[in-house]
Amino acid sequence: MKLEDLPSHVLSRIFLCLDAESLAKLQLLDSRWNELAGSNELWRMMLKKRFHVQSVNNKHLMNTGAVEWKNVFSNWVSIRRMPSSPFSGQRFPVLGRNADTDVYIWLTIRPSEDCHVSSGHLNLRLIIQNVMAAPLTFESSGISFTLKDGQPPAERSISDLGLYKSSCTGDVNPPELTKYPLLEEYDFIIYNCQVRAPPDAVIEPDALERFSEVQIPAREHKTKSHRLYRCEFVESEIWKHYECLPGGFWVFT
Amino acid sequence: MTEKGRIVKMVSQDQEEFEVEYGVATMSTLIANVLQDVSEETTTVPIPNVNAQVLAKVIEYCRYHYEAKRIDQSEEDIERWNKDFMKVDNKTLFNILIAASFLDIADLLDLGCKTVAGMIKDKSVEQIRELFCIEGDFTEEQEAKMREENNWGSEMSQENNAAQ
Repeated sequence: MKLEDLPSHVLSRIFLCLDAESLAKLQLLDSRWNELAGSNELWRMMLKKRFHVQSVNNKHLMNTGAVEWKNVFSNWVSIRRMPSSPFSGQRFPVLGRNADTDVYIWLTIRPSEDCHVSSGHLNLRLIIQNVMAAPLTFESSGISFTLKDGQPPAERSISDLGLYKSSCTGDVNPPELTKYPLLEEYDFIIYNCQVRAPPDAVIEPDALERFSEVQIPAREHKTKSHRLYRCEFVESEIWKHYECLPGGFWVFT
Repeated sequence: MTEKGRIVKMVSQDQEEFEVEYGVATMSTLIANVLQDVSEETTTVPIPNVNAQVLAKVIEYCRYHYEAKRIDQSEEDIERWNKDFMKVDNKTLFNILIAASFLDIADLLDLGCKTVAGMIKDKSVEQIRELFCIEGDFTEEQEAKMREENNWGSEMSQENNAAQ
């Protein structure tokens, strides 16, 4: 009795409990395993599991003919694609990112209509995904922003927009709201952070430019040890997404 | 329904009989379905492709989890028990997986799959080969080429620093 003699549906179940790197490693075992762990359907499921895309039968991809899902997967890893949800995904501009390899953080914004800091607040969004860390929880109450002058913004309030669990079956689960969300492999969580903009900033990019970084404390579930993730605002990225139209109107692109 | 106290007799491939409480036996969706389709007097269910050793293990699992649910056992205790339960040799483990899939016991199948996945994770290709007695049949060149293609780990850390 060998592992590869298990019924194929049991094998796929095992494969889908694995991360992409382990799966790629199995392909190296021998030619039979290369076939088993390299099946196109399996990698299509991995794509769903890792990037939470609802449907990967997307027109753009289908038009390119036969799709090698594993190639798509490695491309998406290399561009560090944001996992998809109503509040995250490809179309959201990335204004900041972190340097860690086990947890990915994307910083984005829900822009106001006219891109003016009319209410004095910015709605910053943090998308945090566990890509290869041990299960961990993030402490939203401890999320802190720092301005370039070293001071924190005058006010900030954090709200949880949901924890998205990745599933082994390839289904997309609805987001969960829990007090101590546990992020296992490929799960991600979204926080909306309403922060007070510097009082003299009039338009969003101007306000954003004054921020330097955000720190997010986390705790490893098993060892209970504390970790601190920092995500920096990338200045050159910020202005790219705003455009001033003739007449002084600002738009978010 | 007179399910309480009802006993189901499960007969393994090698004709060994196991007497099991109804609630325990019906943790297998297959057995639950079979028992629904037959009259209440019928109590013997043949399990033609599971041998006595494996069936005993499967019943042990069902019995523990049936009880654990009844007395509201803590999650940590259940997790610890599961971990100990899965400390078996590879052959038994694979046979449990096959039995769980045949008898349709979702939780046990899940546990088994996660156990195997856990054995694979964080191991090198050579270690996995050794673990599952696999002799590689790729030439060194082929393998080197494939490793190159799979080399995201180091790629990822480089990508991190480069602003997209």
